Amino acid sequence: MKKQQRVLLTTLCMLASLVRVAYADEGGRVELTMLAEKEIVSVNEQGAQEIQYVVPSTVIPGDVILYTVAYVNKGDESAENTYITNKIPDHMVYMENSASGLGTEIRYSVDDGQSFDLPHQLMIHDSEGKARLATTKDYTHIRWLFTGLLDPGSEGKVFYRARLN
Amino acid sequence: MEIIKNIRGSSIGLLSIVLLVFVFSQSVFAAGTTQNQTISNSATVDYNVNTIAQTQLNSNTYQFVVDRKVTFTVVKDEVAVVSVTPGSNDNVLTFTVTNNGNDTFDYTVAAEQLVGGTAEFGGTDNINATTVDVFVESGATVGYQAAQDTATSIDDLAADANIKVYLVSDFALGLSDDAIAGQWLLVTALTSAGGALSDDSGSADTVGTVQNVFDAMDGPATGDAANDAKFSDGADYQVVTASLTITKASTVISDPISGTTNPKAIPGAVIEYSITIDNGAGAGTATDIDIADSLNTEIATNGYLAFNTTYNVTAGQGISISSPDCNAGAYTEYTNTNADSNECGTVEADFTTNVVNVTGIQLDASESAIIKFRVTVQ
Repeated sequence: MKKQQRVLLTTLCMLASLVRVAYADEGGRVELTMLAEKEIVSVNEQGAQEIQYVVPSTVIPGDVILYTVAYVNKGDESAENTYITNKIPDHMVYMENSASGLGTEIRYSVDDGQSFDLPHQLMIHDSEGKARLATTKDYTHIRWLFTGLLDPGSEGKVFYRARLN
Repeated sequence: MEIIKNIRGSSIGLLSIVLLVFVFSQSVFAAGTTQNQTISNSATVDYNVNTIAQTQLNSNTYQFVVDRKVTFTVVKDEVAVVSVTPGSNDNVLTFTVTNNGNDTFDYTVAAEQLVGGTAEFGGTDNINATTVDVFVESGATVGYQAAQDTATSIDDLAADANIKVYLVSDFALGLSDDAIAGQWLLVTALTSAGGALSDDSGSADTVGTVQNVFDAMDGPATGDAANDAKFSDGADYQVVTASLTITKASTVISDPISGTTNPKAIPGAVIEYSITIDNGAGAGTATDIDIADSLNTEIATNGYLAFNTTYNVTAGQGISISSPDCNAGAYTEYTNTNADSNECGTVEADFTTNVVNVTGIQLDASESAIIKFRVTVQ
């Protein structure tokens, strides 16, 4: 009898899961595309600095990469409470004030994505409990929080730059 | 700290952060991330529809590999010219080669001699060494050791590592004081297997393949162009040698008729010879200066003169010497018969077979020594 109850419960859970996925697929689907471009700084004939972003050919330590995350809501429903999260790749350091995204608030993590906050609120504690303000070298993740709805068909991009150690 | 869960609202219980970025060992050096390291990146999106949390979705993963940065420095350890003596061997200029690239490299090392032109520490290059060898520090003993430092190339210098390289030169005799020999150490990077490196920075990307990028390498040697796989630095030798001059003068001390008042060089007159040795200002120290003044023609052949064995008052002491390292330069009288009987410091003197011999004088820059002896006109 107990075995029959367990089988029934498991079946109900699976059905509930299927219903939920089906609803999500029919409701909204926000898709992301990640792109990386290398920053090329040059000086033109007028002596002015020019910055270009190109698909990386060669990347060596010290190079700056512009990461772009393009999003689009391909669903039929608006997406609420949307946020995009990007772990800063190992060996790369976030470049201060480089993150941007229209209609978003940006937060950072220094604890491997466990929590996020504004830069002036991010603290690092050493082994003796001594606290210091985090630097960009401490950042592990970036999060873009959309302040409004992402309506069906809406799209855009969020950005940040990072330097290869 | 503001937690994202609060922003999303309490109804959301599916906060999950998927860490799709690969985890690599943190092999970060001052030289940078090691070549061939894959850098991956992907993002996630979380959202609700009609207040219901949807399945978190991932972006594509963008990857590239870190290419090989070829850059290193060659820096002289010398802070001023290295003094050399004419005729000396194994004079050493020391350089430090540092691998600032993100891989292990081999290097060839070569010497170039400046031919004219402005030397590294100023002045004009005007001499060359007769031989220049290049050796790499073995690590056994700090500083150049001829028996230990015998390698003539650098093998497997790791990222951020450095090694000493020595230019070892021999110089000919007869070089002028202050002459300058400028030299360069020219170093060329190779693969860790000893192969030539090509610069791929202008080439199309080969996805997933490590390519070479030459970065910031340019030194003064003639064979060192900008941003090739070569780097160089220079340093100078400067000859420091004694600049000796010798003069001989004579004075009539007395004659048998007038005594010491206006004496003339008539038979029986006493003549004093004075030999002065000067070392020039700024010259190197001269050691073991030997002086020989033969009177054999005047005494033995022609019989014009006779050696006066009493320079001043003591019989048998016919030579008087003022030398800076002997009695603070005060005149000291030497026996004319026994070289060792009356030596002062390293200076010795005797009168043998009609030759005045003085040995062991040492003169620093701007110092002088004077040798005096007397003869009698026959």
